[in-house]
Amino acid sequence: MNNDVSRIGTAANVPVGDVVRTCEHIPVLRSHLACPPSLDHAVYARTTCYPAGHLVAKNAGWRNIRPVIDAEKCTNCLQCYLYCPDGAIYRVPSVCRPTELADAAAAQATPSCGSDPSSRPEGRFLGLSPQSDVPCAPSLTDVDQGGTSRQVSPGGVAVDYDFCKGCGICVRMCRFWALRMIPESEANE
Amino acid sequence: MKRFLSGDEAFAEGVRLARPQVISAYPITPQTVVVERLSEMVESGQLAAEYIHVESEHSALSAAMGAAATGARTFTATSSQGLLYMAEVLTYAAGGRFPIVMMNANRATALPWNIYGDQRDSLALLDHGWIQAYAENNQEALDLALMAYAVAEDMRVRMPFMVNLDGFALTHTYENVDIPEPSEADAILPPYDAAGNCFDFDHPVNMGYSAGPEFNRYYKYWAHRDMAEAVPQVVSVVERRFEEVTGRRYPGMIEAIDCDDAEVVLVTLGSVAGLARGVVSHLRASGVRAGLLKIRYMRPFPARQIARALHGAEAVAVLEKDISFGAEGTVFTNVNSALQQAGITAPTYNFIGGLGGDNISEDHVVSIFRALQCVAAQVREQGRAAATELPRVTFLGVDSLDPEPGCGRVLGGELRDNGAGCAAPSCDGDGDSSKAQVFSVRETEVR
Repeated sequence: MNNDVSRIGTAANVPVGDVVRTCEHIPVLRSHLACPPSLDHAVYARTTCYPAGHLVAKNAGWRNIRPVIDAEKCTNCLQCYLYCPDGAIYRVPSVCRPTELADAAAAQATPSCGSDPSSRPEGRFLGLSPQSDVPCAPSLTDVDQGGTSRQVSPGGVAVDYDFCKGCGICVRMCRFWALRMIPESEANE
Repeated sequence: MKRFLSGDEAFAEGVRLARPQVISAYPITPQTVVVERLSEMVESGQLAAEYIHVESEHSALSAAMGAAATGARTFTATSSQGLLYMAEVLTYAAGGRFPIVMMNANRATALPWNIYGDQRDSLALLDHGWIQAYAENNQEALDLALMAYAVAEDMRVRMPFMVNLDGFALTHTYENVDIPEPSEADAILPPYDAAGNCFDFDHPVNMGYSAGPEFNRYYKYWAHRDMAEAVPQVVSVVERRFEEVTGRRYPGMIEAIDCDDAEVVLVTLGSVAGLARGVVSHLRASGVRAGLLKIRYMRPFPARQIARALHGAEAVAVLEKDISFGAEGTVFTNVNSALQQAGITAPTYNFIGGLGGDNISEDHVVSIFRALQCVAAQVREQGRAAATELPRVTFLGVDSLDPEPGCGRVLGGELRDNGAGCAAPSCDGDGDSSKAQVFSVRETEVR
C-alpha cells in the first residue's frame, strides 16, 4: 500500500488566495502534496484503506453567503474558530498594525477583567477572563528594540473559503460584530 | 497425531494451529462446539488469542473486522440465522479486503425454525465477496482451516474466506482426523502481514471510507478480478505447499471423479459428495458409466473447470441442499451458466434434498443416476425434446412420481437396483415395456 504522504501536523505553506497558511492542523489538499498517494485504481481500489493527512477536494460549492471578518473589530476571542462546525476558520499569526488603528480598536473593546492584560506575562494571547465570559481587550503596546512604539495585535482569524459552507454560526457567535455574512455574488475573492 | 473428533472439534484444532490473535464469536447450533473448544483452549493457555464475548453475530463479525483493521489475524464462526444477522458486515469485510476466516455450520433457515443441516444459509450469500469452500469430511474441514488463512492472507488475494461444514452431518459426526504439528502448520501458514491495510500511528490511514459514482466501480471490479483470477492460482500454490508438508493432496477448486468417460454425472458439494463417491464406485462396478463432480469452491466459481469435467456427459444432475424460492437451486443456476458459456447442451436436472436436516440416502443418489440414464437413453432415441420427460427441479421426498406405464418415465414404486436400465428400447437389459423396470425416489423415512 502506498503510505507516502505528509503527516498531519507538519506545517505546510500553501498559498490560499493571498494568505499564506503557516498554521498547523489545516489539512492540505492532495493536489498540493509533494508526494501524493497513488490515484491509479489498480493500486488504490484494492482496499478501502488510503493514506490520511490530506483532503481530496475543495468542498464549498453550495455556499450562497459567506462570512467576512472586520479585522479592526476582531478581538481574537476565537469563538468563531471554536464554533465553526467545519473547522473552516483558522488562526493567523500576529500581524503588525499602526498604533492609531490599534488605539481605535482598543477604545471599542470592552475590558471587563480585573487585571490589566498588558501586565500579563503571556502578553499577546487572549483567553477568557475568569470573572466573565467576555474576553479582555487586545490593547497591548510593545516597544521594539529600536524604541518605536507599535501595536502588535494578538493575531487574528481567517476563513478558509475552500471549505466554508456558509452556515453563519461564526456570525452568530461573534460578540464584537466583527463578522457578517455577504452574498457570494458580492465576494471579491 | 490422530484423534477421533467431530467436525466442529476438528475445525477448532485447525484454528488453534492457525493461531489467530482475536476470536470473536456468538454461539449458535450447530457451530457452538467450535467456539466452546476455542474458548477452552484460550482459557488453558493452549491458544494465545484475545477472545471477545459479543452479544450477537453482527457484533462478532464487526469486532473481527475491527481487529483485522489493526493488523490482527481473526476468526469467527456462525450458522444460518447468525450468518444472516451478520450479513451486512459480510460486505464490509469483503470490500475492506480483510482476510478474516469464518466457519459456517450449514444449517436451515427459518421459518419454520430448524436447527439441522442444509445449505441455504451460505448459498444464499454467494454474492457478498467472500471466498466460499465446502468441506466433505472432518479431515478436509481441519485442513481447510489452515488453508483458508493461507489463501485469504496471500498478497494477491486479500479477501475473507468462509469455510462451510454441513450442520450435524459433519459438525457433530465423529471421524478420525490427523492433526498436524504446530511446526507443520507454521510451514503452511506464515504470520499475518497486513501490508498497510490497517491502522498505523506512523502512517495514518483513512479506512472504510465511501466511494462515490466516479470511483465505486473500480473497487468492485478489482474485488471481482482478484477473486476470479488470483484465488484459483493461490489455492493451487497453497495446496501444493500443504501436500509437501502433510502429505495430503487436495485437487483445487473441484474434484472430478470418473468424469472423463462418464455418460451420467452427479454434481454436488459438501458431505453429500462423500455419500456419492460410494454410489459411483458401486455403479461403475456394475457397468454404469457414472461420474461425480464435487464442487469444493463455490466462490470464485470454477466455471471453466466444471464445463471441462462435464463436456462429455449426456445428462447431468445437480444435487444440493437449498432452493432459491421461485427459481431453482443456486448451485444448479451457477452450473448451468458455466455449461451455457461453454456451449455444452447436455440436459441438466436439479435435485433438492436434505432440507432442514432431511436425510439423503444412497438410494436417493442411485435413483438420481437411474433417472439420468433413463433420460439420456430417451434423448439418444427421440432427440432433445425428450429431455423434458424428467422435471427440471425435483424435491426429494416430496415430488411424487406417479406410476405410469410406459417406458422412459421416472416412476413411483420400489427401487430395483439391478442395474438393468430403464425400459427405453436403447437401454441394456429387457426392453419389453410391459415389464417396465422402474426407478424411483424412495420416500424419506419420517425422522
